[in-house]
Amino acid sequence: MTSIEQEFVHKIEKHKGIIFKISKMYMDDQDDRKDLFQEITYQVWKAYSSFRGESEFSTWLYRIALNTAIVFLKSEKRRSFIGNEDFTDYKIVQDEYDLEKEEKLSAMYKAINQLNPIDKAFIFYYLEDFSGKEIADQMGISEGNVRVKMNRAKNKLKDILNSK
Amino acid sequence: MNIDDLKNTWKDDISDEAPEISIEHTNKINLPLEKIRRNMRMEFWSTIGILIFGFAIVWIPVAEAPFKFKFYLTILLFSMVIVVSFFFSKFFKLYKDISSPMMKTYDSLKDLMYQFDLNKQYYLSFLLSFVPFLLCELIIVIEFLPHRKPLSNFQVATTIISILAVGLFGLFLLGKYWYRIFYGKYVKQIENLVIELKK
Repeated sequence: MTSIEQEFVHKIEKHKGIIFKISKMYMDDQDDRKDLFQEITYQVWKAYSSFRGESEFSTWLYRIALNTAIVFLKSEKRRSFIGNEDFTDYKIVQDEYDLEKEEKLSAMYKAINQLNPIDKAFIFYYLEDFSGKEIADQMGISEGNVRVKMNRAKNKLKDILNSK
Repeated sequence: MNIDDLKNTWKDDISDEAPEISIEHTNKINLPLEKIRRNMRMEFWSTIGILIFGFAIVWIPVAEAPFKFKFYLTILLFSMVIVVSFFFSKFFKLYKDISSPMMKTYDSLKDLMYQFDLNKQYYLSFLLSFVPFLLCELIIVIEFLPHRKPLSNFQVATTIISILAVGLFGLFLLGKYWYRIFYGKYVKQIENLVIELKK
Protein backbone atom coordinates (compact mmCIF):
# COMPACT_ATOMS: atom_id res chain seq x y z
CA MET A 1 0.00 0.00 0.00
CA THR A 2 1.42 3.41 -0.95
CA SER A 3 1.72 6.18 1.62
CA ILE A 4 -1.19 8.10 0.10
CA GLU A 5 -3.35 4.99 0.29
CA GLN A 6 -2.34 4.49 3.91
CA GLU A 7 -3.11 8.12 4.70
CA PHE A 8 -6.52 7.77 3.05
CA VAL A 9 -7.41 4.53 4.81
CA HIS A 10 -6.34 6.03 8.14
CA LYS A 11 -8.46 9.12 7.52
CA ILE A 12 -11.56 7.30 6.35
CA GLU A 13 -11.36 4.65 9.06
CA LYS A 14 -12.58 7.26 11.55
CA HIS A 15 -15.65 7.89 9.41
CA LYS A 16 -16.58 4.38 8.41
CA GLY A 17 -19.33 4.24 11.03
CA ILE A 18 -21.09 7.25 9.52
CA ILE A 19 -20.64 5.92 5.98
CA PHE A 20 -22.33 2.72 7.05
CA LYS A 21 -25.12 4.68 8.71
CA ILE A 22 -25.70 6.46 5.37
CA SER A 23 -25.74 3.05 3.67
CA LYS A 24 -28.39 1.88 6.12
CA MET A 25 -30.47 5.00 5.49
CA TYR A 26 -30.47 4.37 1.75
CA MET A 27 -30.57 0.58 1.45
CA ASP A 28 -32.84 -1.86 3.22
CA ASP A 29 -30.96 -4.97 2.23
CA GLN A 30 -27.80 -6.02 4.04
CA ASP A 31 -25.88 -6.87 0.85
CA ASP A 32 -26.95 -3.64 -0.85
CA ARG A 33 -25.73 -1.71 2.18
CA LYS A 34 -22.33 -3.33 1.93
CA ASP A 35 -22.24 -2.57 -1.80
CA LEU A 36 -23.17 1.05 -1.19
CA PHE A 37 -20.60 1.31 1.58
CA GLN A 38 -17.95 -0.03 -0.79
CA GLU A 39 -19.07 2.28 -3.61
CA ILE A 40 -18.91 5.33 -1.36
CA THR A 41 -15.43 4.39 -0.16
CA TYR A 42 -14.32 3.90 -3.74
CA GLN A 43 -15.81 7.23 -4.90
CA VAL A 44 -14.19 9.07 -2.01
CA TRP A 45 -10.86 7.44 -2.82
CA LYS A 46 -11.21 8.39 -6.51
CA ALA A 47 -11.86 12.00 -5.51
CA TYR A 48 -9.29 12.10 -2.71
CA SER A 49 -6.49 13.62 -4.81
CA SER A 50 -8.79 16.64 -5.42
CA PHE A 51 -9.43 17.27 -1.73
CA ARG A 52 -7.89 20.66 -1.04
CA GLY A 53 -8.78 20.97 2.63
CA GLU A 54 -10.99 24.01 1.99
CA SER A 55 -13.66 22.38 4.11
CA GLU A 56 -13.46 19.75 6.81
CA PHE A 57 -12.72 16.27 5.52
CA SER A 58 -15.94 14.97 7.07
CA THR A 59 -18.08 17.64 5.35
CA TRP A 60 -16.43 16.88 2.01
CA LEU A 61 -16.87 13.15 2.57
CA TYR A 62 -20.57 13.46 3.50
CA ARG A 63 -21.26 15.30 0.27
CA ILE A 64 -19.65 12.58 -1.84
CA ALA A 65 -21.32 9.86 0.22
CA LEU A 66 -24.79 11.36 -0.18
CA ASN A 67 -24.31 12.19 -3.87
CA THR A 68 -23.33 8.57 -4.45
CA ALA A 69 -26.13 7.17 -2.29
CA ILE A 70 -28.81 9.32 -3.98
CA VAL A 71 -28.18 7.79 -7.42
CA PHE A 72 -27.11 4.35 -6.22
CA LEU A 73 -29.15 1.53 -7.77
CA LYS A 74 -30.13 -1.50 -5.80
CA SER A 75 -28.94 -4.79 -7.16
CA GLU A 76 -31.28 -5.94 -9.97
CA LYS A 77 -31.76 -9.38 -8.46
CA ARG A 78 -32.57 -8.11 -5.02
CA ARG A 79 -34.75 -5.30 -6.40
CA SER A 80 -37.18 -7.84 -7.81
CA PHE A 81 -38.17 -8.97 -4.32
CA ILE A 82 -40.68 -6.40 -3.23
CA GLY A 83 -40.68 -5.45 0.42
CA ASN A 84 -37.59 -7.37 1.33
CA GLU A 85 -36.55 -5.07 4.12
CA ASP A 86 -33.76 -6.82 5.86
CA PHE A 87 -33.74 -5.53 9.35
CA THR A 88 -32.94 -8.91 10.80
CA ASP A 89 -29.32 -7.93 11.22
CA TYR A 90 -30.25 -5.87 14.24
CA LYS A 91 -29.16 -8.43 16.76
CA ILE A 92 -31.70 -9.54 19.29
CA VAL A 93 -29.85 -9.54 22.55
CA GLN A 94 -30.93 -10.61 25.96
CA ASP A 95 -29.99 -7.39 27.69
CA GLU A 96 -33.20 -5.39 27.99
CA TYR A 97 -31.55 -2.02 27.37
CA ASP A 98 -29.86 -3.27 24.22
CA LEU A 99 -33.04 -4.85 22.99
CA GLU A 100 -34.84 -1.55 23.37
CA LYS A 101 -32.01 0.24 21.59
CA GLU A 102 -31.99 -2.25 18.73
CA GLU A 103 -35.73 -1.91 18.33
CA LYS A 104 -35.47 1.86 18.22
CA LEU A 105 -32.69 1.66 15.64
CA SER A 106 -34.66 -0.77 13.55
CA ALA A 107 -37.74 1.46 13.70
CA MET A 108 -35.68 4.52 12.80
CA TYR A 109 -34.03 2.98 9.74
CA LYS A 110 -37.30 1.37 8.65
CA ALA A 111 -38.98 4.79 8.75
CA ILE A 112 -36.12 6.62 7.03
CA ASN A 113 -36.00 3.96 4.34
CA GLN A 114 -39.48 4.94 3.26
CA LEU A 115 -38.43 8.48 2.37
CA ASN A 116 -37.24 9.47 -1.08
CA PRO A 117 -33.46 9.87 -1.64
CA ILE A 118 -33.53 13.68 -1.37
CA ASP A 119 -35.52 13.69 1.89
CA LYS A 120 -33.09 11.14 3.29
CA ALA A 121 -30.21 13.56 2.62
CA PHE A 122 -32.04 16.35 4.51
CA ILE A 123 -32.78 14.03 7.42
CA PHE A 124 -29.12 13.00 7.50
CA TYR A 125 -27.99 16.63 7.80
CA TYR A 126 -30.65 17.21 10.46
CA LEU A 127 -29.44 14.23 12.47
CA GLU A 128 -25.85 15.38 12.11
CA ASP A 129 -26.77 18.87 13.35
CA PHE A 130 -25.80 20.78 10.21
CA SER A 131 -26.95 24.40 10.11
CA GLY A 132 -29.26 25.68 7.36
CA LYS A 133 -26.35 27.52 5.77
CA GLU A 134 -24.15 24.41 5.75
CA ILE A 135 -26.93 22.29 4.26
CA ALA A 136 -27.58 24.95 1.61
CA ASP A 137 -23.90 24.87 0.73
CA GLN A 138 -23.78 21.08 0.56
CA MET A 139 -26.97 20.73 -1.47
CA GLY A 140 -26.47 23.75 -3.74
CA ILE A 141 -29.83 25.37 -2.97
CA SER A 142 -30.88 28.48 -1.04
CA GLU A 143 -31.28 28.55 2.74
CA GLY A 144 -34.97 29.35 2.33
CA ASN A 145 -35.38 26.29 0.15
CA VAL A 146 -33.52 24.20 2.74
CA ARG A 147 -35.97 25.31 5.44
CA VAL A 148 -38.96 24.35 3.30
CA LYS A 149 -37.52 20.99 2.29
CA MET A 150 -36.27 20.17 5.76
CA ASN A 151 -39.73 20.80 7.23
CA ARG A 152 -41.30 18.72 4.51
CA ALA A 153 -38.88 15.83 5.07
CA LYS A 154 -39.34 15.98 8.84
CA ASN A 155 -43.13 16.03 8.50
CA LYS A 156 -43.04 13.03 6.21
CA LEU A 157 -40.87 11.18 8.69
CA LYS A 158 -43.13 12.20 11.56
CA ASP A 159 -46.14 10.82 9.68
CA ILE A 160 -44.36 7.54 9.05
CA LEU A 161 -43.32 7.25 12.69
CA ASN A 162 -46.81 8.12 13.93
CA SER A 163 -48.44 5.60 11.63
CA LYS A 164 -46.62 2.77 13.39
CA MET B 1 -40.82 7.38 18.87
CA ASN B 2 -41.07 11.04 17.91
CA ILE B 3 -38.76 12.94 15.60
CA ASP B 4 -36.78 14.58 18.41
CA ASP B 5 -35.90 11.16 19.84
CA LEU B 6 -34.38 10.26 16.49
CA LYS B 7 -31.26 12.31 17.12
CA ASN B 8 -30.53 10.32 20.27
CA THR B 9 -31.24 7.03 18.53
CA TRP B 10 -29.00 8.13 15.63
CA LYS B 11 -26.16 8.97 18.01
CA ASP B 12 -26.67 5.67 19.82
CA ASP B 13 -25.95 3.77 16.62
CA ILE B 14 -22.29 3.13 17.22
CA SER B 15 -22.24 -0.51 16.22
CA ASP B 16 -19.11 -1.92 14.66
CA GLU B 17 -20.90 -3.75 11.88
CA ALA B 18 -19.37 -1.55 9.14
CA PRO B 19 -17.35 -3.58 6.62
CA GLU B 20 -13.59 -3.27 6.38
CA ILE B 21 -12.30 -0.32 4.34
CA SER B 22 -11.12 -1.29 0.89
CA ILE B 23 -10.24 1.04 -1.95
CA GLU B 24 -10.75 -1.64 -4.58
CA HIS B 25 -13.82 -1.46 -6.75
CA THR B 26 -16.16 -4.44 -6.47
CA ASN B 27 -16.93 -4.44 -10.20
CA LYS B 28 -20.60 -4.48 -9.32
CA ILE B 29 -22.52 -1.97 -11.39
CA ASN B 30 -24.72 0.17 -9.17
CA LEU B 31 -24.46 3.66 -10.61
CA PRO B 32 -26.62 4.72 -13.59
CA LEU B 33 -23.67 6.03 -15.57
CA GLU B 34 -21.77 2.81 -15.10
CA LYS B 35 -24.79 0.86 -16.28
CA ILE B 36 -24.91 3.00 -19.40
CA ARG B 37 -21.19 2.60 -19.94
CA ARG B 38 -21.53 -1.17 -19.67
CA ASN B 39 -24.44 -1.18 -22.15
CA MET B 40 -22.44 1.04 -24.51
CA ARG B 41 -19.50 -1.35 -24.37
CA MET B 42 -21.81 -4.22 -25.27
CA GLU B 43 -23.34 -2.21 -28.08
CA PHE B 44 -19.88 -1.34 -29.38
CA TRP B 45 -18.80 -4.98 -29.56
CA SER B 46 -22.09 -6.11 -31.10
CA THR B 47 -21.82 -3.39 -33.76
CA ILE B 48 -18.25 -4.44 -34.52
CA GLY B 49 -19.50 -8.05 -34.68
CA ILE B 50 -22.22 -7.07 -37.16
CA LEU B 51 -19.69 -5.23 -39.33
CA ILE B 52 -17.31 -8.22 -39.32
CA PHE B 53 -20.28 -10.37 -40.30
CA GLY B 54 -20.88 -7.85 -43.10
CA PHE B 55 -17.30 -8.31 -44.35
CA ALA B 56 -17.77 -12.06 -44.26
CA ILE B 57 -21.05 -11.85 -46.21
CA VAL B 58 -19.41 -9.73 -48.89
CA TRP B 59 -16.38 -11.95 -49.34
CA ILE B 60 -17.55 -15.50 -48.67
CA PRO B 61 -20.99 -16.38 -50.10
CA VAL B 62 -20.72 -14.12 -53.14
CA ALA B 63 -17.27 -15.16 -54.25
CA GLU B 64 -18.28 -14.84 -57.88
CA ALA B 65 -19.47 -11.24 -57.51
CA PRO B 66 -17.52 -8.59 -59.44
CA PHE B 67 -14.45 -7.29 -57.68
CA LYS B 68 -15.76 -3.70 -57.86
CA PHE B 69 -18.96 -4.72 -56.03
CA LYS B 70 -17.04 -6.38 -53.21
CA PHE B 71 -14.47 -3.62 -53.09
CA TYR B 72 -17.05 -0.82 -52.81
CA LEU B 73 -18.94 -2.64 -50.08
CA THR B 74 -15.73 -3.36 -48.20
CA ILE B 75 -14.68 0.29 -48.37
CA LEU B 76 -18.11 1.29 -47.05
CA LEU B 77 -17.99 -1.22 -44.23
CA PHE B 78 -14.50 -0.10 -43.34
CA SER B 79 -15.68 3.54 -43.22
CA MET B 80 -18.53 2.43 -40.97
CA VAL B 81 -16.01 0.84 -38.61
CA ILE B 82 -14.19 4.19 -38.44
CA VAL B 83 -17.43 6.07 -37.75
CA VAL B 84 -18.48 3.55 -35.09
CA SER B 85 -15.07 3.75 -33.41
CA PHE B 86 -15.21 7.54 -33.49
CA PHE B 87 -18.62 7.71 -31.85
CA PHE B 88 -17.86 5.11 -29.23
CA SER B 89 -14.55 6.75 -28.37
CA LYS B 90 -16.59 9.94 -27.80
CA PHE B 91 -19.09 8.08 -25.62
CA PHE B 92 -16.38 6.55 -23.48
CA LYS B 93 -14.49 9.82 -23.14
CA LEU B 94 -17.72 11.49 -22.09
CA TYR B 95 -18.25 8.98 -19.30
CA LYS B 96 -14.68 9.30 -18.13
CA ASP B 97 -14.93 13.06 -17.79
CA ILE B 98 -18.27 13.40 -16.12
CA SER B 99 -20.09 12.97 -12.89
CA SER B 100 -18.00 14.37 -10.15
CA PRO B 101 -19.57 13.38 -6.84
CA MET B 102 -17.70 16.27 -5.23
CA MET B 103 -20.10 18.84 -6.67
CA LYS B 104 -22.94 20.27 -4.66
CA THR B 105 -25.79 17.78 -4.77
CA TYR B 106 -28.04 19.89 -7.01
CA ASP B 107 -25.18 20.69 -9.41
CA SER B 108 -24.10 17.08 -9.47
CA LEU B 109 -27.60 15.90 -10.41
CA LYS B 110 -28.03 18.67 -12.99
CA ASP B 111 -24.67 17.75 -14.48
CA LEU B 112 -25.65 14.12 -14.67
CA MET B 113 -28.91 15.00 -16.38
CA TYR B 114 -27.15 17.28 -18.83
CA GLN B 115 -24.68 14.52 -19.67
CA PHE B 116 -27.52 12.05 -20.24
CA ASP B 117 -29.10 14.51 -22.63
CA LEU B 118 -25.82 15.10 -24.44
CA ASN B 119 -25.38 11.38 -24.70
CA LYS B 120 -28.84 11.04 -26.22
CA GLN B 121 -27.97 13.58 -28.90
CA TYR B 122 -24.70 11.74 -29.63
CA TYR B 123 -26.64 8.52 -29.83
CA LEU B 124 -29.15 9.82 -32.36
CA SER B 125 -26.38 11.38 -34.47
CA PHE B 126 -24.56 8.06 -34.32
CA LEU B 127 -27.56 6.20 -35.71
CA LEU B 128 -28.30 8.83 -38.35
CA SER B 129 -24.66 8.73 -39.49
CA PHE B 130 -25.45 5.29 -40.89
CA VAL B 131 -27.93 6.69 -43.40
CA PRO B 132 -25.40 7.75 -46.10
CA PHE B 133 -23.64 4.40 -45.77
CA LEU B 134 -26.85 2.45 -46.12
CA LEU B 135 -27.82 4.59 -49.07
CA CYS B 136 -24.49 3.97 -50.81
CA GLU B 137 -24.83 0.26 -50.16
CA LEU B 138 -28.29 0.36 -51.64
CA ILE B 139 -27.03 2.15 -54.75
CA ILE B 140 -24.24 -0.39 -55.15
CA VAL B 141 -26.67 -3.28 -54.82
CA ILE B 142 -29.08 -1.71 -57.33
CA GLU B 143 -26.25 -1.05 -59.77
CA PHE B 144 -24.60 -4.44 -59.54
CA LEU B 145 -27.45 -6.88 -59.02
CA PRO B 146 -28.49 -8.43 -62.32
CA HIS B 147 -32.07 -7.56 -63.27
CA ARG B 148 -34.14 -9.37 -65.85
CA LYS B 149 -35.25 -5.99 -67.17
CA PRO B 150 -33.13 -2.91 -66.44
CA LEU B 151 -34.77 -0.56 -63.93
CA SER B 152 -36.11 2.66 -65.34
CA ASN B 153 -34.82 5.99 -64.03
CA PHE B 154 -38.15 6.51 -62.31
CA GLN B 155 -37.97 3.13 -60.58
CA VAL B 156 -34.42 3.80 -59.39
CA ALA B 157 -35.34 7.28 -58.12
CA THR B 158 -38.49 6.15 -56.28
CA THR B 159 -36.74 3.13 -54.73
CA ILE B 160 -33.86 5.21 -53.43
CA ILE B 161 -35.95 8.16 -52.25
CA SER B 162 -38.53 6.02 -50.49
CA ILE B 163 -35.89 3.85 -48.80
CA LEU B 164 -34.02 7.00 -47.76
CA ALA B 165 -37.17 8.56 -46.27
CA VAL B 166 -38.25 5.39 -44.48
CA GLY B 167 -34.66 4.67 -43.39
CA LEU B 168 -34.13 8.13 -41.92
CA PHE B 169 -37.42 8.10 -40.10
CA GLY B 170 -36.97 4.50 -39.01
CA LEU B 171 -33.47 5.00 -37.64
CA PHE B 172 -34.51 8.14 -35.80
CA LEU B 173 -37.47 6.35 -34.19
CA LEU B 174 -35.40 3.27 -33.48
CA GLY B 175 -32.75 5.42 -31.78
CA LYS B 176 -35.29 7.16 -29.59
CA TYR B 177 -37.03 3.90 -28.71
CA TRP B 178 -33.77 2.06 -28.03
CA TYR B 179 -32.51 4.90 -25.86
CA ARG B 180 -35.74 5.02 -23.90
CA ILE B 181 -35.80 1.26 -23.30
CA PHE B 182 -32.16 0.97 -22.28
CA TYR B 183 -31.47 4.27 -20.60
CA GLY B 184 -34.83 5.99 -20.12
CA LYS B 185 -35.45 4.69 -16.62
CA TYR B 186 -32.14 6.10 -15.37
CA VAL B 187 -32.78 9.45 -17.02
CA LYS B 188 -36.27 9.57 -15.50
CA GLN B 189 -34.87 8.73 -12.08
CA ILE B 190 -32.35 11.58 -12.19
CA GLU B 191 -34.94 13.97 -13.63
CA ASN B 192 -37.28 13.20 -10.73
CA LEU B 193 -34.53 13.88 -8.22
CA VAL B 194 -33.71 17.25 -9.81
CA ILE B 195 -37.40 18.19 -9.81
CA GLU B 196 -37.74 17.07 -6.20
CA LEU B 197 -34.79 19.23 -5.17
CA LYS B 198 -35.97 22.24 -7.16
CA LYS B 199 -39.67 22.36 -6.28
